[in-house]
Amino acid sequence: MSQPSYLIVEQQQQPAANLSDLLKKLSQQHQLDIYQSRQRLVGRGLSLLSKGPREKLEKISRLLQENGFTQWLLEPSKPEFIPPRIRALQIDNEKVTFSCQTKTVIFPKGATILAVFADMSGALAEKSVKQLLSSHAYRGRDNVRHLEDHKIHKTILQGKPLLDLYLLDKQKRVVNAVRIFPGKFDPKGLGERSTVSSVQNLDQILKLAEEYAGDFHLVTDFGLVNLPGCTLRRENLDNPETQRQNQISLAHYGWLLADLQRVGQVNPVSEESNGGDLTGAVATALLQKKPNLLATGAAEEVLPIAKEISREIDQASQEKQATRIDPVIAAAGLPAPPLSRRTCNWNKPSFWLGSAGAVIVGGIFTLLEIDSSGTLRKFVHHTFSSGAALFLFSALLVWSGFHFVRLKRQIENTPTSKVRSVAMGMVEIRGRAIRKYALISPMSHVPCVFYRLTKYRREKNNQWRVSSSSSSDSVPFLLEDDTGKVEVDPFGCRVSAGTKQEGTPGQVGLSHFSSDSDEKWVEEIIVEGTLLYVLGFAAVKKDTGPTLAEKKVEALRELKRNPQDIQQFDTDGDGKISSEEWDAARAVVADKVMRDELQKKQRRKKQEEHICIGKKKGRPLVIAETHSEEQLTRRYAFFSLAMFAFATGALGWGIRNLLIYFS
Amino acid sequence: MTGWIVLGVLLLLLAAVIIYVIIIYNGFVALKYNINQDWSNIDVLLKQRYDELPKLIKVCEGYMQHEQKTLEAVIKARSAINSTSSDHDRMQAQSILTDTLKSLFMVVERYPELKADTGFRQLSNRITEIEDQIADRRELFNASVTIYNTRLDQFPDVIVARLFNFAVRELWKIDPVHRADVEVSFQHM
Repeated sequence: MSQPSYLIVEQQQQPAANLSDLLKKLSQQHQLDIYQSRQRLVGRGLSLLSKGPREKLEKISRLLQENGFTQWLLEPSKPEFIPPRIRALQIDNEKVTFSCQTKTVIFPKGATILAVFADMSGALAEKSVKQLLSSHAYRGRDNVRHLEDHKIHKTILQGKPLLDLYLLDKQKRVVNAVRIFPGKFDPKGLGERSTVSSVQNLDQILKLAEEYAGDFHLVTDFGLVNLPGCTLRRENLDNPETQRQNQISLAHYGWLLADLQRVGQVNPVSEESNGGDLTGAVATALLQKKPNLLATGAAEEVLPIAKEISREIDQASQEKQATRIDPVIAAAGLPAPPLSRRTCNWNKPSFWLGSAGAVIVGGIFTLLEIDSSGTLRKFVHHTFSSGAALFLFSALLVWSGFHFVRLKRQIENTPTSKVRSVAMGMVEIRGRAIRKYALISPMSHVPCVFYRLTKYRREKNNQWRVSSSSSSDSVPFLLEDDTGKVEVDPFGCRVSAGTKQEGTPGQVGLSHFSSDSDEKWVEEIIVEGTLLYVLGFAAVKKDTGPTLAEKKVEALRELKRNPQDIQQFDTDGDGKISSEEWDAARAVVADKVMRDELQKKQRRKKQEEHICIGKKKGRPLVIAETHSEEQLTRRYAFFSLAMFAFATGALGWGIRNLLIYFS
Repeated sequence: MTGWIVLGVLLLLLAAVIIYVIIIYNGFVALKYNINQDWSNIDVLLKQRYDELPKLIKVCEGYMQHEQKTLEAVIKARSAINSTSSDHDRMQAQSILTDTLKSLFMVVERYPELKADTGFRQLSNRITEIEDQIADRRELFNASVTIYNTRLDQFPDVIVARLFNFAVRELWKIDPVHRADVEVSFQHM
């Protein structure tokens, strides 16, 4: 039985517009699974699309050619040897000599070298997955951004790097190869290039190979590719077998890459020549008003400038395409969330109440400790036994209960406004939440408008204690109803999020990278697109941009940077700007800045650009993920009733204590 | 001693009732001022519309030489707003102005050159936008009044309302003429 052929494709980072048609054809004509094909055609790096008889793959290959995919059709060779590990090296002008345990490998200057620079720890794969998940969430499925090359290089160096160098002959067959482990060779051979860092020494060898090679190919995506026999497994320190298998996989990958070099990519359809001729023929046929020229192919003879015209048509169509694509990419990304605001705890009533409570309790305990006469101890005893403490507790509960009654009535008494006609002051609106910034929840990695992450730590008595808490209350979002959008600033708000889930530290999306069982995370999020109820204070947004004076200064700086612009103020033509000329320039710049500013003010701002609903001192700000106001008010009614019930209980108990105390 | 405790409990209950009455009373006060604010918020938009109208009329005059009657009706309705004294009269005057504006925009259909004028388009869009906002705020005003009037009749709020003489507020009602079906004629189009 003959060896099956491989059809390997270079994945497209951004899926083409006609990808869905291609996937349908691959499914209908060649029985390839649509979902799997999409996974293998879109991404970063090489991927095995299909394997089987060459004739069958050639048909698929033609289809891919028409859709502009770079591809290789080959019968992979079996690796003849695993690159031996180097122990030392020697550099001279004509060659680099690597000494291994059993042999010496010479890489002559000007040779063809294939370098496979790999991370064996899996950190690169992990980082790539994280990047994909976050990019998917920020930019959508069809606009993901992969790791950049310099970041890949850095990640490999920071992980567990390994370098394989393959020496190829003119037919791109592997002649020899070496494997370089950091710290496992004598760096003296690097001469002046050697450093004290084993990883940097490895990087130096990579640079040396590039310098000496006539034809150099560097590959860094081991672990990210979907190729048979080239899988990177998660290394287990207790099991050296995984390390051995990964090193074999790396050798497989190196040999397969050499095969790809040897067979070369399948020639893409020459669109330029065919398409160009066709456009030329069409242009000639149209200009001559003779459609038959198109069929006979005699267009060029009739009109010699047809090719020129066709080139112009091509250029114009390319320009049109470029202008069509740009806005889509620009619109896909949202700006990064603003940094969290520095909050002053002095302004928060909770800070003062908490501090006062702590001081009172602490003070009582201290006084009890230092009280030698026992007067204070007696006082505390009487306070509790007479029920006074319970009366105080009951009063606090009544106060909290009335707080919820007031909040409930405030919600009931405020009618719902439409977003387009929101007036300044306390307003109630309902609508769909939309992100203004690219906010992603830290644990579940979901696009959201608000999150609150609480971290718990397990105590010695097996109880969970809050260790830290963070939220996105500094990130505003938009609320949209059927009349418009408005900005909501959740800073200092009471948020009832609908989605709450538990996770483990370091959890990102569905991936778990940690197994610390003594810590747990609880994440509450408001997912983008959910219906929200907002009660808050609408106000005109403060202009946080540069002032007019700052704009003038910036415009003058810009003028100084451009000598050509500044020359127009050189009225006497002496090549220098005198103080009078500079004053004139300043006046002109000031006038221009002022005009620009006035023009901007004339433009009507959108609702979401100039109005923001947020917190005002002494007024509530409620953001609730609820479909009905009644649901929310019922909840507050329940809270207040519970408070009153507890208050009554405490009061009853206090009276009982009081009766006992006096009897 | 028991007598004192009973008295204390009664005082506490009384305090709770007083607090609740205060909350209800303050709620009524807040609602009353909310209604006033909603009314003033409509006024803000009406003022904006009032200020935009002369510009619109000026643009229209250049094109609509044969529609002086319609334009004069708009000018007259606009002036009538200043001569009103009570809220009710002002509501009526504003409604008349809204009607005359509707007539104006219908007549504009006969003047394609005017419709194509950039200045007219901007002004008419702006006025239409303000009209929509006015309609929204009228709804909000009516919602505030309804909440207030409902509270006046609810128990236990009704006791506080009667005690402190909180009066029923009037909804913004439309003229019965506007409830009639609109007759659409194409003879002048």
